[in-house]
Amino acid sequence: MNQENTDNSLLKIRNVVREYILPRQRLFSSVKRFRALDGVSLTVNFGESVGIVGESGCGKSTLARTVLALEAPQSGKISFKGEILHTLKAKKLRRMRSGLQMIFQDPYGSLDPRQSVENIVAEPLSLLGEMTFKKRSEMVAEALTNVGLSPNDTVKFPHEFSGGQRQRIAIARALITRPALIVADEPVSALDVSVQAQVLNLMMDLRDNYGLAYLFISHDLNIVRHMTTKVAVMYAGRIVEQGSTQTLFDHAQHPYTRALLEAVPSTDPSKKKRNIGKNYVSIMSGSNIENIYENGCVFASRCPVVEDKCKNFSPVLQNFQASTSARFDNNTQEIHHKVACYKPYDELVKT
Amino acid sequence: MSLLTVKNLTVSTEHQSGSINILDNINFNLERGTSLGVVGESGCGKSMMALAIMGLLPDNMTASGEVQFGGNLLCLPEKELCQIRGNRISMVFQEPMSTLNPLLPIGFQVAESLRLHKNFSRHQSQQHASKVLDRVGLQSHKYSRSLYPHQLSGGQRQRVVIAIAMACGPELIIADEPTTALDVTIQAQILDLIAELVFEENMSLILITHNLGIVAENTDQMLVMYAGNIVESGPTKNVFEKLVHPYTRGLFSSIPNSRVPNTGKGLQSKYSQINRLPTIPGRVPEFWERSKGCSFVDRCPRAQANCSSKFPELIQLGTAHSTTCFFPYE
Repeated sequence: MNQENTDNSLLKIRNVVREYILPRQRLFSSVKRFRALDGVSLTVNFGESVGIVGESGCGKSTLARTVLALEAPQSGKISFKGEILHTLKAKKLRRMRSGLQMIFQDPYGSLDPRQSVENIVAEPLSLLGEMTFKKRSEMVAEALTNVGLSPNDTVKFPHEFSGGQRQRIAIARALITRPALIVADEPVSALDVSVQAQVLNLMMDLRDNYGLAYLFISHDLNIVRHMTTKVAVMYAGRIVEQGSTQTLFDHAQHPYTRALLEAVPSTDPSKKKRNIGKNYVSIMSGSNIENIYENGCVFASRCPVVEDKCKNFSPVLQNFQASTSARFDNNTQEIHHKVACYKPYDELVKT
Repeated sequence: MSLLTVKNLTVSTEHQSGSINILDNINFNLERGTSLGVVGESGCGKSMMALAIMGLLPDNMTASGEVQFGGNLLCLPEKELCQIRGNRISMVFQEPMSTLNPLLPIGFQVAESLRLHKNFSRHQSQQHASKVLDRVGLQSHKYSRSLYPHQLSGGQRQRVVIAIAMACGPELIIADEPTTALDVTIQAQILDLIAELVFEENMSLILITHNLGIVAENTDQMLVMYAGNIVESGPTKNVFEKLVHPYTRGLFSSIPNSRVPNTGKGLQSKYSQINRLPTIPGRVPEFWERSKGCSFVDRCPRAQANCSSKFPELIQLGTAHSTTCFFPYE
């Protein structure tokens, strides 16, 4: 990324690798490892919302956990406000954590049913050290007002709220320490369509008011398109394509990104009856994400345009130079656009 | 000739505040070989409608009205219903892992309905089941018939569920959120598969979902449900073009839409009025909160005085397109 040297970056993820050790098949067999994250690099600037898309099992949530320092990476580093999180001492890390908050997918599972809303929302305040009871209730009331709930709701319990309101409580809890970055792992996928829009609007308003940055994880591409300025597409622990939201959605280059985009059902009935057998999704063979060539491209086993080279040498995520056929509104977007593929779409079209 | 006709279907249950209607006067018609999409938010009664048609309602609920499928399904004794379920009408459920029996191999589970309904022998049914599994894309040389559900991925499991549903060659398949638990790419593959099978076997399909995109791409007719009522129904194309009911319009506009291009400009500065998603204020009323008027009245931007006192009649808007609203959009 070109802004690497500027001070504007809030979160820097550099070549992060996270491996899990799988259980042995037999007593003396070698230990198998599963690479959930394989050399992921990403930068989130102050006040920027970055989307991460990909199928289940591609490492999206592992990335979220690693960013929040809930798990340490085997190699690579994650720096947040210039501090490398996983090397910090527990006490310092705890203080840093107030700048990082998370919103979870399921508002029914993420709120303790036995705690009152006041206790739930005030819980992260313990990170800020001692504070008076009065100050605490003031901050809770303010957080609740910010998310569109009443300060009188503090005595209620989670079961008294609907799904959308619960997600608002979860947002209030994330917001109360005034974090600089909120990691939102599928924040609206458990909500109804009309409520989704309310929560998304709220999240964007808060971004404007408090200069929050979001790491927005979702599988709904329409929502990512709406919410973010930059997107990274993950597949099997690697980022296969990244760029500004507009470039990526309009000029997707990686075959996997194109398949993802084609798979989104369009709300236009005239596009009915997709030409079955002709698009990327239906010729994308198999559905097994575990079937991966050891040295080759992670996507090679499902790729519709695979070559011998792809199976033996893994392509590097590198800047994509748009051919003359693709038009960009301005040149800066080109710098952000990176693809890990030997046969990006534009070059396929040319031949 | 219509395959399924639902007339005045009402499902009610007892509640502290007296009898409440979970489904209220549902009417629709499904022609042979066509597909019907049902959209609505959770709790609007979509799934209850499917269960009522199949005669699978929980014990504390009663259905009245007519479900004509050859005869009136609501009047049939359980024994005869059993001969229809899984044979002439079958269902595909949302969560494939809880639909499939984890203790039985997939070949056996597909063969089961063939033995029950077609009186096939064990050998015959296994052979036919193998053919059906080939048909849904699980070829026998790659996927042994003795595999157990846990050995398959989510998409493959849903393929097995579809194989079970279509094993006996049903006339009607009811798919209740068939792809909600799946990834987008797998979702597209499964929907293509359903569309292909329905087309080739000349089956009818009722596709229940909350995703408007899925309805737009895969169905001929559609119903929009809100709080136990049908608020708009008609050919999918007409409904999407006109969006006459305020709820349909609200629902549609609250989805981040790929039709409206995101220029990214609004996001770089303030989350401007242009980029803001229109929302439907408020929430769906609980069943016991519903008044005798239109159930959408509290959230409706066009509501007037008589909306809350009287339930709006169904009005026709040309070719089979109808809505229950006093003040529909033109």
